[in-house]
Amino acid sequence: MRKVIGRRALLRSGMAAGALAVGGSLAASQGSKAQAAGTSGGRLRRWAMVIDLRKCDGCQSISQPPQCTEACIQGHFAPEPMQWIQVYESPLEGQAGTQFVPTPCQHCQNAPCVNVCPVGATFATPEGTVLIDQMRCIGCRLCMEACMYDRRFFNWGTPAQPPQTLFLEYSPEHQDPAIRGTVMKCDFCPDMARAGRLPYCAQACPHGAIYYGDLEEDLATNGSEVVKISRFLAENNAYRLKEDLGTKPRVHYIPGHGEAVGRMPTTTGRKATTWPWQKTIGGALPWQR
Amino acid sequence: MKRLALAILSALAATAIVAAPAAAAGPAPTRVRIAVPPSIKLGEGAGVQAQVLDASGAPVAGALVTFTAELGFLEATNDVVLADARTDKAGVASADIDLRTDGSIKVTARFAGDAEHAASSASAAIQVGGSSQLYAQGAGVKLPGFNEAPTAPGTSAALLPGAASLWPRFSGWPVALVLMIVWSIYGSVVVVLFRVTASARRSAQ
Repeated sequence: MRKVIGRRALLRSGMAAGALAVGGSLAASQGSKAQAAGTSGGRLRRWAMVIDLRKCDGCQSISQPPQCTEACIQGHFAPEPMQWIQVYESPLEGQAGTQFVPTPCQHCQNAPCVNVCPVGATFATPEGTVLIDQMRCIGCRLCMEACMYDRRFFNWGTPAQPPQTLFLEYSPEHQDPAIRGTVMKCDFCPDMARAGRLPYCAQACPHGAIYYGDLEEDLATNGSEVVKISRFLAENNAYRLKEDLGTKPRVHYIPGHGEAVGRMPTTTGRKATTWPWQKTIGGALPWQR
Repeated sequence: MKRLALAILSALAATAIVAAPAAAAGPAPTRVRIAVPPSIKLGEGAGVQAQVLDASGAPVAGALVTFTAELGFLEATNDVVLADARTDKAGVASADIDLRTDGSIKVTARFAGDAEHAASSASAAIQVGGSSQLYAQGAGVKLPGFNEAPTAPGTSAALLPGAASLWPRFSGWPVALVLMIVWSIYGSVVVVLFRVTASARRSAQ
């Protein structure tokens, strides 16, 4: 005789199955949280960046493309045309000439991209970095619309993959290997900082213009000099991009136009960015942003 | 005021290391005495004082004293400027410093010298203890379980370009609890609807 399942029994079993599914996914997820960086006393790091525009000449003095951008591209295998840290040349306010402004993701503490992501693929870590989980990203690009700094990039096609990335364990902290149909951006290199190294951009800057630091210890370094962030910012009239929008970026700027490294503001132009790693592999097809 | 400052410096001088004055041909040699609290807790400011004296032991007024701490971060270590102050008539410069690195921190008071006085410096150690988090995260939409570090994605699937999760992962139990409550309410509403429908059929019959 066929057993008839009643509506109540069906609902009960459905709810029980739902609870089991949720519980199972939670159990699977809790065991592998990304390890957070800490100070020697166990306090959580709060990563930040200070870019001293007085020292940035867009790498004019070495006749090269901006080395911060190049190093980031090389280190992350960023597909063309992505420039996770892009050096913009903008007119100087109140005087003739231009300044160069290296612009990574601003890692806003009140990040619009985080707030609009419908699937939680863009998230803010306790360390203050805003990361993207490409395994969760559905490619809706709402975050790109929400970002007022235009610091997000979409994989319109199948991105080129160097062989090295096949051996990498995927992590939102380095975003390799790149995945078609997902968004990528500067991740602030917390994995490198955790290992005691500066991010690629800060390492590569020939003039030490990029300071990477920790707001918890109030210290930042460009590799050769350590500064107290609060004092460094206050003494040099630091500002943040589009501060009036209330996004609270973690990237601070010290105004300037490369005068500390001898750049004249009227000397304009910089070398175009290149993607050297893409030339080493065949079949890499860039697309338009 | 002068007596008070000198008394404080004398009382705390036990921990201070007085540096040898810099050799000077033109400017007169000076020496610096530094007084710091032996220990502080993280997040508490520390009042530090330094006295600049000339060779005869007379105070040097108006001297700019820079307080630094030897601190390291990532790949670099150097003397980080914490504060600076000018000496008063008693030759005492006072400043409040904010140390956010735990451990034994070497604080140095440095007088750079001027046309009449040679440079000199002195150092002392402050033990900084505690483990309280000092920097509070700023504004943002904060929902338990949302906008937090995700669970590690499946590593084997990640090796395949183009792979993506088919099932969303939950990063916190509060979200799961809310979902369960919401779906329970939905379920109970469906049950009530079935009951109402059945009751209406019975009434019609």
